[in-house]
Amino acid sequence: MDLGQDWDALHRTLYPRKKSKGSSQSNVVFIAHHADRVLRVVGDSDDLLFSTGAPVAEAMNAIGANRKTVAIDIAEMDRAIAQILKTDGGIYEQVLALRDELEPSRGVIPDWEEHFVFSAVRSWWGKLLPSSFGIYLHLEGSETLEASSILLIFRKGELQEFNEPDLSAVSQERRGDLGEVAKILRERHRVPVQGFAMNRADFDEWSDAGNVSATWKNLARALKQNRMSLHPFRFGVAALVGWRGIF
Amino acid sequence: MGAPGKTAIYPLQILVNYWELKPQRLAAKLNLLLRNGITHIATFVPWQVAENDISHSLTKFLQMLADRKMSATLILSPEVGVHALYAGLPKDLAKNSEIQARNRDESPATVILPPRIFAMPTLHAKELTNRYHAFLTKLDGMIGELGRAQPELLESLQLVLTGSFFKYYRPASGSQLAAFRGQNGDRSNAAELAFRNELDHYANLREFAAGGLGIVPKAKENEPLFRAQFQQNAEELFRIRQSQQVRKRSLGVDVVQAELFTPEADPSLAYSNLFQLTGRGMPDFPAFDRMIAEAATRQAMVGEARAAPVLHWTGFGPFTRLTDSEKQYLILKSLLLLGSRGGGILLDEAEWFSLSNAFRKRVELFAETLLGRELELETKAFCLTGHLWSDGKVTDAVTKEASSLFWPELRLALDTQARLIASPEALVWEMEAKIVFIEPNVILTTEKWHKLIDWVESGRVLVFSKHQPMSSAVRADFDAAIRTRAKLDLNIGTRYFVYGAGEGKLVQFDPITVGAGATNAQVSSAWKQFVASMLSLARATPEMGVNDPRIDLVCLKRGLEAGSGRAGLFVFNGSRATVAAEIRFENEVTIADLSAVLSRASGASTAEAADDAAESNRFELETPPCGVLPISVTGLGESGLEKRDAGNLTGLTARAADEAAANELAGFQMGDDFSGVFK
Repeated sequence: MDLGQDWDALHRTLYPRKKSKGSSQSNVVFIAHHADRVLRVVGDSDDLLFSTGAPVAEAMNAIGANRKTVAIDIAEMDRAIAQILKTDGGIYEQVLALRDELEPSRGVIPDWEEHFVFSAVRSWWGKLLPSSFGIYLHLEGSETLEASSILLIFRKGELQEFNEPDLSAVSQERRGDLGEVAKILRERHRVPVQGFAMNRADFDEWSDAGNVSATWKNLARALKQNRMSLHPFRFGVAALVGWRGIF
Repeated sequence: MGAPGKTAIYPLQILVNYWELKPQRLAAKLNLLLRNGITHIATFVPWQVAENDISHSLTKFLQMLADRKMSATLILSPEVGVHALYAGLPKDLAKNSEIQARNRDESPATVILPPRIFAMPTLHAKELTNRYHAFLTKLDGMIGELGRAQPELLESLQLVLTGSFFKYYRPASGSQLAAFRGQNGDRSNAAELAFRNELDHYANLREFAAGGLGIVPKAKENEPLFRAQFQQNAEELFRIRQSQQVRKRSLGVDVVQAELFTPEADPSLAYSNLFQLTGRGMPDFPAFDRMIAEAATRQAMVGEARAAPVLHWTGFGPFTRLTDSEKQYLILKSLLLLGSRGGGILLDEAEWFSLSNAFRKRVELFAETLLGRELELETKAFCLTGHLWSDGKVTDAVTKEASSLFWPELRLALDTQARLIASPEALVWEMEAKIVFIEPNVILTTEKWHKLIDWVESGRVLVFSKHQPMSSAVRADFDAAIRTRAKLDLNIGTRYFVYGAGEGKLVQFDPITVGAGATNAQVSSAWKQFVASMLSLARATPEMGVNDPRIDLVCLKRGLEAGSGRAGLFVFNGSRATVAAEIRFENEVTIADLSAVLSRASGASTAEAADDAAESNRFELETPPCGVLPISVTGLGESGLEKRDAGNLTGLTARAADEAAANELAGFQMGDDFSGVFK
């Protein structure tokens, strides 16, 4: 059965909204230029807008040494866009391809924090995981956070389907048992499914921290303290989570 | 039942896509919205989703709405910024490179926005339009069937049709300095074929008959003019044809023509979006801010009806990465500017509820006020262009210099009170407008010319070039008409002739170009002076100004039809610093807090409150970063104009009295103050 792709659910689950006041802040300034002329500057200073139309070197001086600058020629960006139109998949695959494709004229594109779930799947885990599998995230809500759940199906290392699974036909009793849910999803989508149940607030915090050692240490700790549970419990998966926290 | 484009659109539309949620979750979501007082929602109906809707999710959704006595707006046209792959287009069509649109650089027209960067298809391809019409017919049948069983269900539905991808066929490279700079338009094979057919059609028209004094459709030098006209016509034809597919079986359903702007998908933001996606850079807030005014100052038409401008902030584009203050600023500005033009905003449900209660209440209050047409954006001057989504610039084939342009000057002089149109039908909708400027890329045909003259004859001004492209019939008509009329020959750096037309005036100018003894700076200065003088002639000069470019003033007239002279003035500061600025009015006015005025129940009390305030023509205000100050102003419009006239008259009388006294009385000196003598 086709699960489909719910981009909104994926975005809401993996990249939760953050509340912030004031104006956006960033220590990286982006310059789009055509030959030597600046066409667009994006940065956290109003004065940078005056650099539009100026030579690139002049704009770089105006930005100063306190901020990192990434300048890319628009011809280079147009070329990269034309290239990634040929790739399959969604925005995540396209962004990864773009990062490989784009060659800035000045500076380097800042590191991109891929979500820790995707990073893990694309890492050495890939050699141990089956060619097709599903990850079911069951996130429990609180007074301020809405509960949510999403099933991610990977085939050959690529995220192919993602959606909130439809459990409306499943009895309330079976729905409460996450082991049962994982079993139902496995039968329905014909891929092994590993369920992870955790607190939404914890997951949001780890998502925000990104794919760093501390995130995996927190995950391993949560597993040990029963704040996160595996459904079904597979020792191999628990070991993989623990190992990522160490290495 | 309202005719297409005539029905009011609710200014604040909360987006809940029925196809993104499973039935159980959708029901829970609708219940939650209802508990929060939301009874109307908007949803996209992606073509791909509707074609493969084997579980009848749309029917179920409409049933759920009916059960809860809720209403909905269904957006049927293909649009960018939809939360679906390829913006909800059928995959086989979206992936077919043979029917991809080509922009003026002969490159694919791309949308840089999640969930996938893709190239838009051409809306000229028969393969695509036939299937699209079949989709609309199927949908119409489904809604009609539901309506027969439950007539009340149709009453709660509003179908929205838009201009689709037409305005996005611009190269990103040409849209960086100004969003609609240069020529926009599809150059795919299908579009080129349609363009050649249209040229043949023009060439066969009697009014473009060979041998006349008008322009020749098939002449190489006229191609850009006819191309701009073609792009405009193609969009209107697309809109008309899609509206013919609905309401065939769903009789009685409300159909609205809208112009949906999705700033995040605009080519002018393509490069900054790319950087934001690849390097987690910050979103381009100033560009979003600029796009709002671009949307509010352009008026699309469908036949004689106006397309309501609606601005869409998506649920997972760069907008979501802005801070709350920036989001609130953009939401309020877009709501006020587009809502006061009969349109509004479309906002993702999760985004809406992520904002504070107090802000939501404030926005809802403004939305209600806008719906009641209590606040309207006035149009002082029109600019008629050949194509709404290109700028009016045409390059002289010989000198390679761009012709003079009205639009940038009008935007500078009048800001959002200037209106760019591509159809003269838009003129009759704004009775208060006083002047129309014709861009050099407009081809005047008999039909257009008569519509313009009818409008001008009721006391307005029409400004056009001596070299204005026109058909032979219009040229002959114009030459015959001016032969019998008296003309004023004037020169203020730009030479122009003024002819009477009923109670109005026709102004024909002789464009000055760089190189003909004039430098760039001289031409620019003369041009500014000419535009200012035309606005003054039509009494369409700005009523206020601000001394800091970081501040945007949006003046919405209150009770415009009544000519009350009351306005809601919104002071926007999109910068990162607190700005103390001085607002100058052309005459003395009184100001008050607009929110307090709007919340008061009776109109009488507002007038009394305004009377208590002191009159002045200068006010100093401090606006915080991303801040919006709403001010109520009394004394603008006709009453302000009368005050200014009275002031000028008093000045002239005093000067005449001074001069007379100086001639008659020995020892009297101009400037002596005698006011004390009479005390």
